[in-house]
Amino acid sequence: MKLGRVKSVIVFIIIFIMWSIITLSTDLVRPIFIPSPVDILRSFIDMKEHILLATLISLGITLGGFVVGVIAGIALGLAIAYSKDFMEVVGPFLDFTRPVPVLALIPLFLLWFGIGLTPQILLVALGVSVILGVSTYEAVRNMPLIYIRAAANLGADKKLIFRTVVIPYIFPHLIGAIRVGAAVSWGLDVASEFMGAQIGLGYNMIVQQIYLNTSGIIAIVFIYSILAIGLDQIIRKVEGRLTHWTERSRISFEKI
Amino acid sequence: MQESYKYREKDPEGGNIALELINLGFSYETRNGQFQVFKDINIEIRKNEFFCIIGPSGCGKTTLINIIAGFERPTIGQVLEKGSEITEVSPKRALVFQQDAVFPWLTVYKNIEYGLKIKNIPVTQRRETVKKYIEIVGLSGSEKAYPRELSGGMRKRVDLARALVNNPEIMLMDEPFGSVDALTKEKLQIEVTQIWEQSKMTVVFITHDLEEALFLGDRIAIMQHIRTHIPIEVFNVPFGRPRDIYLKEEVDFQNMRRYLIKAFKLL
Repeated sequence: MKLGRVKSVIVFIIIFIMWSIITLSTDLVRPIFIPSPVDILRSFIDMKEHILLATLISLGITLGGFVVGVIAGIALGLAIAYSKDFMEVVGPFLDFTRPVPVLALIPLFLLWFGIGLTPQILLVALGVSVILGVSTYEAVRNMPLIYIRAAANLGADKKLIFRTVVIPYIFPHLIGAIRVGAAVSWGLDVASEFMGAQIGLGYNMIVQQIYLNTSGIIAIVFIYSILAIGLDQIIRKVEGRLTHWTERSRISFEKI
Repeated sequence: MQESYKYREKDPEGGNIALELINLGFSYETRNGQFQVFKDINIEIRKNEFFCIIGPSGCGKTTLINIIAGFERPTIGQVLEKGSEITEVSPKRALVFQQDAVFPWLTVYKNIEYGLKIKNIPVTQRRETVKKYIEIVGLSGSEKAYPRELSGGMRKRVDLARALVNNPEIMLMDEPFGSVDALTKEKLQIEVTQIWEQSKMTVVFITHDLEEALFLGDRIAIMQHIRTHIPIEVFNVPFGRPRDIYLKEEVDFQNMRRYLIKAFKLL
């Protein structure tokens, strides 16, 4: 494990060194395409007054949309899996609207809701809920029948089985979808800010682009990366705590 | 040596009947038409007896026990419990499955507690009952363990306790020791017999292991694959109770085993 860590750190260091040498001491690349580490640092310093607020705004939109989307998606998936009536009523409509790319709705949202935080959060939530909804539904459908039968045999009715058997069982199976949802939510935030935002990291990226300030763009990308990695790590930590009953191991193949 | 054992029963003594299987048959639709799993099952299972069903893979034993439990409905015929038809599952007819059915997300304690919680039994009473059965199946000390930390045999014991805790009148066991190692299997056989002898319970036990059926059962039903056209037949097991595990080594036991194998072409 330790050796693995060292290896990956070494990779980063090598890349950093090569990048620094190429951009600082050679003329192989123009700064507008690949700026040097010094340029990027300078951009950070230039932006420092408003970057914190921008980060918080973007974080709020993303996290807000992510949480709403996860809850709504899981709830919808469970509802469809639980009630055949509900599925018959709602299903076909969802089948029709689900394939619509969420980003294509941006102009529509602008017209409906105008410019502001709400439509942006809504957009993120919509994109995330589609992912979670489908995954939840499939997880319930693919559940081993034996646990459901055992619970029924012990006297549980459908509602209780859903609450005490189905939901606990599928939860680890949703982790993948939740992480994908988190990753996607950042992209949706950037996209939503490209259309009419007045504040936020994505908005700042547009400004940097207009001024052809590549190092500024990369600096913001850097911030996004840190945030996305951070969220993913948090999800994994929480997942670890809540699913210690499963047989999962991180590197199952290497145990052979 | 007496080779003819008079163990066949046409008319069991009347009296307390726990289950009646009347003209039972089951078939299902496949792409190639109706597939008949079994038919013409007519059996009476008495109260408090240990009734074994033995047969090869594919003869329909699991389907049969699922029908008795209430998970499936028969295509023809009915199963009566105390005179009324079985239409749904109930904790009074507890089923111990062949596969692992212990809930992996609950501890041993919470698994066993599951049925009691449904009946809204108060916490202190639940605790007493659960602890009692944890001891009976020999899992004291493992209350807080999760199933993934237990061996297969221990998980089976949790399954057993989870069913017993609801005071079932009928215990249905579908090859419960099929996936457990031979040593643990014998231990579990002894434990099951002991538990059964100390309680008032009808047991229907499915196995493919003839020795297991002979050791555990009061009567054995031998079920054959439908293509053999041999009907199901019920035998009395002549050995007294309580039974010692070393019974399996005795001559009478082995003779009976041999006889049954020959008479029914079980091998």
